[in-house]
Amino acid sequence: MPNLRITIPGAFEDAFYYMGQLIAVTADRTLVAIDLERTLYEHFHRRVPAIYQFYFLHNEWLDRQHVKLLLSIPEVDRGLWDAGKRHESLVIEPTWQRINTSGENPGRGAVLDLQAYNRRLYISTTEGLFDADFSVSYGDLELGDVKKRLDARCISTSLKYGSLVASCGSEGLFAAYDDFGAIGQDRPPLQRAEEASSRASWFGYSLTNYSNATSLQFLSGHRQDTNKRRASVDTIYQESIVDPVLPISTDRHGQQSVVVTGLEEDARSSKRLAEDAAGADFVANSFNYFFIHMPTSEYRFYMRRHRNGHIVGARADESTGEVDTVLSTHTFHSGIVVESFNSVCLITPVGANRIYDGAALKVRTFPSGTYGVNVIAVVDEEGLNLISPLRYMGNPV
Amino acid sequence: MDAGKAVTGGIQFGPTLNGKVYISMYAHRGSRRGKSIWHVDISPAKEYELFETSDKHDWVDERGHYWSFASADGLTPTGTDEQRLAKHPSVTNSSDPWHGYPVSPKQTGDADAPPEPLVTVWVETGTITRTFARRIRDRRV
Repeated sequence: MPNLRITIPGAFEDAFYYMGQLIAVTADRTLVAIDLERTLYEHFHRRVPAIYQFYFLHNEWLDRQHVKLLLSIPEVDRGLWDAGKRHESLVIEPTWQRINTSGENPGRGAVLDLQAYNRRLYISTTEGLFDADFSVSYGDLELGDVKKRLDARCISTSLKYGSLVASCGSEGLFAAYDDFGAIGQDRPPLQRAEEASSRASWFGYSLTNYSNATSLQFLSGHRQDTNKRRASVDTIYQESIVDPVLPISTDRHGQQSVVVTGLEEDARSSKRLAEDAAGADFVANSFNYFFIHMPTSEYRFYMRRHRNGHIVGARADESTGEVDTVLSTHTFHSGIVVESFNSVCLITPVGANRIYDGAALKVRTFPSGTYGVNVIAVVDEEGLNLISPLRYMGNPV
Repeated sequence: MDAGKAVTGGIQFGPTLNGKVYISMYAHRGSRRGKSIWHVDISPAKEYELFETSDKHDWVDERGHYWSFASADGLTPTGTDEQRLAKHPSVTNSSDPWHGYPVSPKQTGDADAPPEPLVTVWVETGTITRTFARRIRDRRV
């Protein structure tokens, strides 16, 4: 299956695609950014095929009913497919904007994770967790003072429903509920929520915490309506052009009026999921799917339903197949992205699509954003690759 | 290459240039359940070579544990469960023989991960690739 790819040569450690901005950390720990939207349109004027703009910019359009209808017309779908096969890869060498930092220095430790959410950049390092608010003005990214949020070595963060959770290995899982002060104070202190965490992944309003590759706890989320009226995505986009500092959330499905205010283990759900995972060597989840990988290389990818913070009903098996040893997984809007030693695959209900060959230094997806929902970033030793699968669940074939 | 000699519990090698004696333990060759097992491609002599290299370069942490790996890109397994690293735990007395076993920070967490200063040395001296370093730091291997 063809996938579109944009390659940006260079020595990078990590990258995050947010609101048209591609934010990256270089190998020498410098924070840089480019306005990918502007860059691609500049290339468009140089006769770069429009299919790149279509698949890499403003991905929320792909989920719109009108776009889905358009893509359901066989001739249109076939035309895009043919164009995708004709123009599989594009190499660009943009001029990066070096982002000046003030306040705390996040560059002392090695970068372990990079996230942007609600115009706040979170940098997880071996020396702790840092954040800084930012704004985008006429394509340039301006970063506020960097603040240190946690001293612990922070492997990764996970953000949704206005809340931040930080996985800090043997030091624990830390949480800051309502991190943007929708109902309380801005940047509340992070509280230790669990004793160990190598990663954590949202599942509806709840969170699955993994203390290692297979041990998990299902933490039910308590939530509260912030009574904030939600603007439509269109309104947000239009207003964000007029006023680049307008606070908006990055959650795509309108949940920004809801804030998760606490997490509490639901032992029964944990037990059910542990039963699903018996004998596995890697377990992961996306917003409503679970992925179980066995030492034999076989995997199961299935839907689990949840209601009021509990796993309910039977497993709905979606697909099975084989994929190599799993190093990491990443939530994707229609499935889950799986990194192995020498490849990256997208697993969806219709099967596995190998989207990258080679050893990935870092893999990243952007399921909560609006711009890059159908984009997968793979950093390797030569550069940064942005990959967009041509077909996915929302695109009828 | 040192062929080693059979002793109680394993095959003894050494001493290294720094005077350390090493035993490739049968327990980590499948004789005892619950222990991590060296990959078939890591013979007892190769296992000693990993330790010898680690000792030579002083790849030791503050607790006295030595750390090693089988290839710079981290693609060569050390153990049967897809481990890519090995740990040689510190000994009580300096004359005690050393040993080691495959480890995976992904599977067992921070206790089985080489410390950050050591990973930094490895990557800055070009001993391992940036990809392998990042995978160790992220606990992905």
